[in-house]
Order: sequence, then structure tokens, then C-alpha cells
Amino acid sequence: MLADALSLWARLAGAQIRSQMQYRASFAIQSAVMFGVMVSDLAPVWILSRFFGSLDGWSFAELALLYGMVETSWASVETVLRGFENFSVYLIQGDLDRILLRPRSVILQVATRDFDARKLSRIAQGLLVLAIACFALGLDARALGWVALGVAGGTLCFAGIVMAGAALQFWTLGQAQELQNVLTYGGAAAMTYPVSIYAKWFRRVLTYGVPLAFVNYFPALAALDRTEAAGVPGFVPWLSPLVCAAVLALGMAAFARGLRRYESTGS
Amino acid sequence: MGSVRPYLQFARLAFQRRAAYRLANWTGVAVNVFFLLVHAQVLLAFFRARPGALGWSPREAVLYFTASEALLMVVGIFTDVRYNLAERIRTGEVVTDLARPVTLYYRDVAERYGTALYYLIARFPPVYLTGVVLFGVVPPLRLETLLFPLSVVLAVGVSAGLWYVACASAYFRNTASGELSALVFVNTVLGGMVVPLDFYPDWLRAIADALPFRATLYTPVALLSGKLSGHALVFGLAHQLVWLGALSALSLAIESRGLRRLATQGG
Amino acid sequence: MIEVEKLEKTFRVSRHHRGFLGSLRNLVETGHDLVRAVDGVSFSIRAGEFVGFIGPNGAGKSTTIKMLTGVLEPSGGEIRVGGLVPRRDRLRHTAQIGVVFGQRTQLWWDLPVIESYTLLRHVYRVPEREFAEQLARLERLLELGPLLDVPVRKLSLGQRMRCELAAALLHAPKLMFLDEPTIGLDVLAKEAIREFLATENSERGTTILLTTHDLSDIERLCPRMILIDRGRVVYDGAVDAIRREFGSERRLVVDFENAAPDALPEGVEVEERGPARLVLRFRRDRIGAAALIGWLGEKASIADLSLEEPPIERIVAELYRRGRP
Repeated sequence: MLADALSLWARLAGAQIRSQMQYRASFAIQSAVMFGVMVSDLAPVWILSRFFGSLDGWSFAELALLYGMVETSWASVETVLRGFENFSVYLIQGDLDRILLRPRSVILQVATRDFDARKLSRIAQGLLVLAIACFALGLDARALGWVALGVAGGTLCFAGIVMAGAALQFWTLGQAQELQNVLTYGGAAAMTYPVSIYAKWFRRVLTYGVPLAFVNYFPALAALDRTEAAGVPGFVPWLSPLVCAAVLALGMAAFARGLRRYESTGS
Repeated sequence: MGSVRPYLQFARLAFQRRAAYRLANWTGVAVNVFFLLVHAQVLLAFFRARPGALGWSPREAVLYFTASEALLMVVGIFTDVRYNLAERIRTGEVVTDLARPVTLYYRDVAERYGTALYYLIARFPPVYLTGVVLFGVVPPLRLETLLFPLSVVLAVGVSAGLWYVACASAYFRNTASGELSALVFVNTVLGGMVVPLDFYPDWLRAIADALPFRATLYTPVALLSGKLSGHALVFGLAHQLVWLGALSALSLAIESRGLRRLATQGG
Repeated sequence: MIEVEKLEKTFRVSRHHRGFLGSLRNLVETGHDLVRAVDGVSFSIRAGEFVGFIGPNGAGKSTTIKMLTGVLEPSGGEIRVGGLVPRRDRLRHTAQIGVVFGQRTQLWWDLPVIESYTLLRHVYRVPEREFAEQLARLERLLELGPLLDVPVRKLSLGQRMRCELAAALLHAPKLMFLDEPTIGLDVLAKEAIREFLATENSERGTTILLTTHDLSDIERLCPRMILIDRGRVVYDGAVDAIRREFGSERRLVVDFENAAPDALPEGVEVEERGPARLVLRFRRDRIGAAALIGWLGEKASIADLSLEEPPIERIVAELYRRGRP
């Protein structure tokens, strides 16, 4: 069953890759540009850390670790579930009807609809930053385990968020694309920095509201042995996989709910 | 160039096109405010380590970022790409442009100014005011501030020129999507969108001062935040003016060659 | 094959305020109107039938099709298609039907046609051998040979529609829903599509429900038609019978050797009168064509005449009008 779904995912994604290869030069340039995004994302962090020394006790290498974790998990979700980001378009243009006319899972079909191979280079860049940061910080196996746990959980968490964002389109008739982007791109941008620097209410939002703190901040604290210094109870990082799985479950439930609404209202 | 009237018409249409999507503008305000919150808090956190660095107070830094986020859509570096020249060439719509006695470059410039005016009315005030209220930073009222409108006008012109040049390869390859994404990320770093150029290491600052990108954002933003006076102010405005001239000349040269190519290749 | 019983669909349409303040009010206020798009539609279609499903824009046609195909949930009534409830059994139901929307493609735009077919084979889980057989058959009937390696975006509309039909039939569905398959096609392309559909229906016994605004499609293909207007069925029966039942008004053009007669029998109207020519309209139930011609022949000598049945468009337009207040 799962193997069946995965093979269909791969086939549909493959079709998108072949479509994009029709415009080869542009494809190559854009892949290179995607890789360059890393430079523009990390440049401000580097410039500021170089100038000010550290951010609330976090060195540039440590900030890069945070960035690498969030970037890898978000880029993975963008690769695997790309269609959910463009969902408002499918809703407005009626592509969703065509999806419903096929005897396969709606989630699977939406996920692959705009698969973008260029996002693979963003995963690569995230992993590269992560590898360099881990090396520079001399992380041991236990710490690396925390990093891996954070990235895996982050993938679930972003998947849940992007699905919830798509679900939002059912109620706003596809006019809330930008709000969905705030949750995902904005969330990822916010998580490039340690949560501790934000004002209390903002911290609360990132911990209890859209719990992105569990994606990289808490696991990174555990990896760096900083939980105590940051005033975070030792068990909190352990909650990461649980919280992230819950976000995914909520996102899927919201999407299913929205889909039922669509089927009963047709709009 | 002929009569100015058709270009005024293009500017008006561009203004109306944006004005038609009011809900989109408010979600856009939400997006700007979110990034404003994140980046302003990051800057404040960095400043906690070294208050008063380089003569910048934390307030000035927050003010800088507030202005940068509020002006982002006005100067149009991130403007939605659907109506750009490259897209018109790709879809063949450019044929209708060619049938009119209109210089495409001036048309693009006119549309940029129309769009800029809309965002200056609908986007700049709410975003800027939110920053001012949330962080309690009052913009300094100085004589130099009177030059801010001029600087914005020049910034929009430089931005239009950069877009036109980035689109140019569409004349020869039918697509410029790679170049356009490259423009956006280079402008993010070298335009001083997240971090004031003052904090850049000398070599990077020298590069940023030489290239046109700072004219789109850094110059007007620093001016509004009261961080540009004396020689720096004169240099900033001169830099904008020189690059506006250079990019216009380059754009017009590209246009005459590109049109010849379209005419012989049939688009 | 299809059983529809008192089918209903009600939409909530939000009331929109105009202007800038209005758009702000829209954000907080939730005013709704209830619109009954489908209002107690019942019909049943046996396996192997070819039925035309027609109605003016906004009559509830596409809403009904969406419910039949499992995209929308009915707000009342019942649907069974091949024993399944479309919405509830969506996966099994969609596996047994084929759907073509004339306005929207189901093929992958930038890829060669054959690649779309291979993808659909996996989507519908069609076994390799059945797929090969079905594709060979469709390739022959629809003359797809030279098109299979062409990217979809480079096909003409007529070529694309042939490819769409094949795409909808690769999994050999027993039931097809066609929405405007001939829209925008030239005469030759239209004829190719019609011929194929007729073969598909007669030789393979595929049940077909055809929605179209081109009534010549219906006349050419469908023995039966269901006419729907404002959410209700206004006619369901043989296409021939609709002429007898509603299209009783016929037209007779007569040219006389000399002057045309002045008086006419009861129930005959003059549409046009020339010195030696009459254009008459008369109702089948009042006077027969033979009787009228005989009567005219007695009064004056006839040089030439032609009898016209009303075009089906006019009958249908008449039926639509009848429903209006």
C-alpha cells in the first residue's frame, strides 16, 4: 500500500521533472540560483555575527546549525508536498475537480502536482550548511542524533503547517495564499534565530501556537547541552517528535475537513 | 519617446491593476509586518551585545528595518513577475506591444511608477506605522528628510532599470526566470535589505557601494532613518542618479538590439 | 447503470457588499443566500444507453454531473452509479468511469501524449497487457499514431480532443461522462469525434452521458435526451418524440404558377406573402401536411414547394422559454 503510493508519487514527480527539463537553460540557472539563496539567507546572519560577536550567546556556527536544520526540513517538505503551496490556484482554477475524478488519494495527487526538482538543490544546500556547522562545532554522535531528530520532526511539522495553510484556502476561497506563506517561509525565516531573542508573546506563539520551536530550537539546545542554561526543562526536547507529529495530524485533519466542506459546497 | 500621454496611461493602468486586489494588499501588509517583527527583534538582540555600535542606536536600527520592509513593495524589487517583459515575450504578447508606437523600456518604467504610487499609498503607511507603534520608534525630523521623496523616485527608476536588464535575455532565449530570481537574491544582500550596509565588512561594503543595488533600498531607507547626511548623502543621491542614467542607456541599447532580433526571428 | 432519485443541491452564496467599505464588511459579515441549483432531479439510465444531457447555462447541468462523478456531495436525494454511491465510494467509483471536460485538459501539458497515457495507466492501475490492447484499439480508431510523441501543448484542439478521449478510456470504463467534447472544433474534427463515440457506444456497449450546447451532437448521437432547466427535468425521452410532442409547428414554402390564393384553411398562419409565393406555418395536430398541400393545389397551380420540420434548436429554445415566468 505504502510502496504503491510511493511509486505513484515518484512517477508523478518524475513527469514534472521531465516537463521542466523542456526548458533546460532556465532550469540550470534557477537550480544555481536556488543554491545561491543560501548566501542571501546566511549573509545577514554572518555579517551581524561578525560585527557583534554573538547573538544572545549563539555563535555564527550555532546559528548556522539552526538555519541548516530548519532549511533542510522545510526544503524537504517543499520538495515532497510542493502542490500544497500552490493549492489556492488549484481551488480557483478547478484543478481540484480533476484530482477528485481520479481513483487515488487526494493528498498524493496534490502533493506531486507542481513538483519542483529545483527544490532538491535547496535540500542539498540545507544539508551542506548543516554538515559544515556540525563539523565546526565538533558535535558528537549524541548531539548529531538530536540534530537528526529535529530535522525529521521539522519535516513533519512543516508538512502539517503547509497542509493547514492549504486547508485555510477552502474557507478563504483561495485568497489567503500570502498568509500560508507567512506560516511557512516566514516561520522558517524566524527560526533561523534562537527563539530566546524574541519578545515573550512572540516566543509563546512559536512554542504553543505554531510550534516551530520544536523543529530546531529545542533539539539544538539539547545537542549543544544548553537546555539548562536556556532555562528550558530537560524533557522538552524529547517532546519534539510528539509535537511535530501532532502538528502533522492536525494539518491533515484540517485539510480533510476543508475537502469535505468543498465537496458539500462546491466552492 | 514621442508623447508622454500613453505612458501616463500605462502608469494609471498599473495603479488600477494593483488597486483591484484589496484583500491581497491587507494580507501583504500582514506579511510585511511579520518579517518586520522578526528582523527588528533580531537586530535588537544583536544590539544588546554592543549598544551604540558604529553610532547606531538600537532604535535607529529598528527604524531602518521598518522603513526597509515598508518600502520593499514600493521600489518593486519583489514585485510580482507576471506582467514583466520576459513573460510578455514568452507568451508572444509582446507582438501587441510592438504594434504600438511605444518604447517598451519607458512603458515598463511607467508601470513601475504606477505600481509604486499604489504601494506608497496602500502599503507603506500601514507597515511603517505598525513598526513605529510596536517598537515606539519615532522617525527623526530633519532637513535631509525632505530629500526622501526624491530618493524614492530615483530608487523606483533604478529598480525598473535592473528589472529591464534582467529580463533582456528573454529577447534572445525566450525566458529570463533564472536571471530574475538571481536579481532578487543579489538585491537582498547588496541592497541592504536586512542589514544596513554600515555593518558590512569593508570589502563587501565597497562592492555594494559600486554596484547599483543599494540605490533601490539602502539609500532611501537610510535617508528616512536619519542615517545619511553630509558626504554620504551626496554620494547616495549621486550614486542613484548615475546608475539611473547608466541603466536607462543600457536598457534602451538592449531594446533596439532585442527588437531587431525579434523582428528577424519572429518572436 | 445510473439511478438518480430526487436529487437536490443547495448552495450557500455569500452576499457581497460593493466598494471599499463593502469589502471590509465582507470580511466580518456573513450574509448568505440559499440557491437551489438542482431541485428534485430523477432519472435512470440503463447500461449501453447514449443520453444527451442538455440545458441552458446555469440550469444545474454541471452541478448534476459533479454529483454523478463524485466530486460534489448531494444535499438531498440519492445517486447510485453501477451500484455505488459516487461520493462515498469515490475511489471505486472513479475507477469505473471516464470523464472528459472539453474545456480543460487531463493530459500533462509539456509532455508527449504517450507519457500522459503511461502515467494514467499507473494512476488507474491498469495491467500492462490490457493497457497495450486498449491503447492499440484507441490508436487505430482515433488515428493517434502520429500524435503520441508530440507534447500536448503543440497539438491542435481537434487533435487534443482525440487524445483526451483516449485518455479517458484507457482504463476501459463502462460509463463515460462527456462535457462539451466538440466545443470549438471544426466540422471535420467534430465528425471524427462523433463517429468514434457512436462506435464506442454501439460496439463496446459503453454507456455515455453527453453534455453539449451543440444540439446537432445530440441529434446525431443520442436516441434519448434529458433536458434540465432551473434545477428540474423538463423533458426526458426520445429525441424524435420531442418533435412530435413539442415541435408540432411546421413550415411550408409554396411557389405558385400564378397568383397565390387569398384565403387559407383554419389553423394556418402566413409568415410571408409574395405575389406568387406563400410561407406558411401550421400545427401538425390541426391540419396534416398532405391535406394542406391538397387544399392549396385545388385553389391554384403549384410550381414548387418545400416542407420544413422545425430545427431542434428552436424546439429546445421554446422549451426553455416555457419554464420562464
